Amino acid sequence: MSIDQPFERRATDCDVMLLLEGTFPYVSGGVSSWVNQIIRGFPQIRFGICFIGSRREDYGDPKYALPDNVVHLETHFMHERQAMPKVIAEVGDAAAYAQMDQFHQQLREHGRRAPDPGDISASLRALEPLLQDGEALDEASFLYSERSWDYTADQYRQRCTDPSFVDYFWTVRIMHTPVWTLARISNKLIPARAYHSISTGYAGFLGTLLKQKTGRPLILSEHGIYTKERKIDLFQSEWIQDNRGVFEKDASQLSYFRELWIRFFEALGRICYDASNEIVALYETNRLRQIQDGAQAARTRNIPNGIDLPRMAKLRALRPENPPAVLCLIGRVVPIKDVKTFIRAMRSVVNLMPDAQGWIAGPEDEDEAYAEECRSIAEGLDLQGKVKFLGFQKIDELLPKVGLIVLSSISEALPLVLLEGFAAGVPAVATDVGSCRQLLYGLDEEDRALGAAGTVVGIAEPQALAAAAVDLLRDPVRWRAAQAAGIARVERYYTQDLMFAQYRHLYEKSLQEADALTFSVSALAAGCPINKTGRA
Amino acid sequence: MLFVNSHSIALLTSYLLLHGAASAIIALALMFVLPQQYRHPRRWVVLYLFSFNFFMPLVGLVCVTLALALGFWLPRLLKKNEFDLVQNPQFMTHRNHEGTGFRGGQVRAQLGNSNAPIDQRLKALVAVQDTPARATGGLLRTLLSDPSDDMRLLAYGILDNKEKLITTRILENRRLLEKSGDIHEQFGLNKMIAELYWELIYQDLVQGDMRSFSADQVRKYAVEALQVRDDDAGLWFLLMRLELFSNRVDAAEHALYEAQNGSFARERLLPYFAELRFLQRRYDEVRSLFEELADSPGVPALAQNRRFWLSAAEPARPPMNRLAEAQRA
Repeated sequence: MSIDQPFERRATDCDVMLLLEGTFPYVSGGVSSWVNQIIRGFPQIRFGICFIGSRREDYGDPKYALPDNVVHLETHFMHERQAMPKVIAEVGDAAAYAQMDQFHQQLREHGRRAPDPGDISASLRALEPLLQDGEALDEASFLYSERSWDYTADQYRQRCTDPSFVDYFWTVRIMHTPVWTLARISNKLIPARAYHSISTGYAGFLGTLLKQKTGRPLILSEHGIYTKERKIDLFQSEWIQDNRGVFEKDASQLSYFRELWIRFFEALGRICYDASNEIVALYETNRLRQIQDGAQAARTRNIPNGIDLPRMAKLRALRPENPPAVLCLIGRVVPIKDVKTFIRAMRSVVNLMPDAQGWIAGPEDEDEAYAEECRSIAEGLDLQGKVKFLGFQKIDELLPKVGLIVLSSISEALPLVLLEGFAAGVPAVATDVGSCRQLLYGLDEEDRALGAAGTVVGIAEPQALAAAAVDLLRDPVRWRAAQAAGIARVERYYTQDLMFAQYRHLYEKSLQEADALTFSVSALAAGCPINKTGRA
Repeated sequence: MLFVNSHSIALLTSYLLLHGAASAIIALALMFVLPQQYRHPRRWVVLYLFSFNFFMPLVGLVCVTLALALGFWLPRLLKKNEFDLVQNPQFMTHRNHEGTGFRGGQVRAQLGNSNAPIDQRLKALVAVQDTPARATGGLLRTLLSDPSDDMRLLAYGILDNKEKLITTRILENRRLLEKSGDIHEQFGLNKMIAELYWELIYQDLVQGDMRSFSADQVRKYAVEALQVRDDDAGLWFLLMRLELFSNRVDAAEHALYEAQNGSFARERLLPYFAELRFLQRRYDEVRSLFEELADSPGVPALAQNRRFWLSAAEPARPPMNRLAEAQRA
């Protein structure tokens, strides 16, 4: 996609600072589209963007044009080599380290019992100023002080079940370094009236630090569940060491370092949940998961994705009378979308309906090896000319030519592409992940009464996927019923207007809270009796 | 003498010049015997040694000599103090215990029970992560439809990683093959690709249409390789296993004989001969092959088959009958 507008935005302040980890504007996908939609949906709000990525070279050119109401953009990369603090011999502040130890104890306790609202936030509020450069727990102290070394060695003796101290030492260092990077970012970031993080993790932790520092409200919107996704990654990561010998190894126990990393991200999640004023999930299952992971139920809510209904509804008139025998997977060509299963299913579909075609519409540059593998599978299954890789396509031009949307993903949250398909009059066959069942069959009694907008099948089941698709395409009566159910469902529950109304409420509430805070602070500075008595 | 007998300035000057020259020569000479670490900065060291000798004749030389000795010995003495003798490290198991583990068979039970705590189930899944897919493939595929999202994602990730490890190598080798102009290199690459496709089948990583596709690829690349060298017994052996797997009996028999002609170890071919004869319904030959197998150290998995075929030759009878037979004899 070509981005014509300049990409430098600098301002001295903004209304809402979006904290984005590995998404808009440098990565395309569902979350990025949603961020784009939200920013453009509130043109009166001056947004700032703080993008957090891994390394600069992992991201190419921006994938989205910056809306005019983005007044500030800054980018930070967690895994790039940062300038190390100067090496100075120091002992370390005993009281500060005791405070830090207490915070760790609290996090450990928090993992074992029901959350005690606000306790983590209170401890972090006390610790946050100490993390800044020159203070008792700054990065230099963490890296070089004797007390830091003693604390690390002591924790190793008490807790580590892996024999290697060297690996423990470096794991702890590498794991915690982003804490100081984020503390520095929080110190320099321009003032905002409210903060909005789109995930927990590093972005959520930055939001927490900013909330502690400024007292401004923090909104958290989660599409997937960050902690869960990280956990699955970490379970499979090969870079994590396991030095246990044959006689020490217990198959039922994860390697200590793997568990340490998982606990680290769980802690980041809990810290963020504890600090957030509002916690938004896309659908009920995820909201319950957030509560299970430490979010207070009273602060959580569901706001499902919504689409631009009038724009999509116009496309219905462009459709041919009979549904074309075209199955389309719209999404990035990446393993999580399980494109291979779609291709394998197409082999069976073509066996039964020789005229059918399978289209894969989505960028292929994110995982080129996977895309190549998909192409070779299609070639190997003799599906040349039947399975087409179209690359990125404009959805308005694509949907009228499609008979069925196929979603073979291994994981999804609330896929926009299904909603857009429904609105444009295209039913779907989707795997039983995320909220797909809710979208296709309905959530409650009333919703279910609208009918099925397609079929849900198990994941990685190409035969079942093919059978469901062929059943729908070959039976025009069923297909039209599914089309009508999809249109009715999206019109009633998943419009952009509904979503914007709920976010408008959230933003207004947060900005009012922020203004009240500013007023009380300025009132305090201007004429507060405490100031007059000279206690400050 | 200089100061007693004469008051000549010229004499004094000449003395100072001579003394200066001598001191300079001594200073330069000392530079050569000075330990390496004391020679820098060179100019200042020379000036220092010169001054020592010039302003303190003889005494300076003695002091410098003493200092040289100290400079030579002192670092060695100090160095000794920096290090201490420790015992040789020994292997010892780590003190911190990890807790209780799974009991026998519990992994499969945990994985299959969707009511068990999710953390335990995830750990059970991680425990089977490194087990060959041939043993766990079916179980992992069952978990793809597990009610828990975490279990589904992890099971998929494990299967996908295992498949990816092989498919990445296939793609790499195919690319090399496209570029290769050397016939011997092409032989090696074709053989490697055939083996990798076979690995996908053997590890139970491909099903349905993908499995038949992989089988076709094994055949295609194996045949390509055999066109270069048709006496490669290993390749014939691979082809034989594929044909047996695909139930193509005649092709399997041909490949099996080719493997035997290529001096492939007969002991390893015997079980396949037995399978082939079984598929051809030549059961007597199966029995005699198992008799032959009985003489060689067998694969444990074959023990039951061997027992069946060999006991079938002589049906088991109750001891009483045998006794009667013996009596009759």
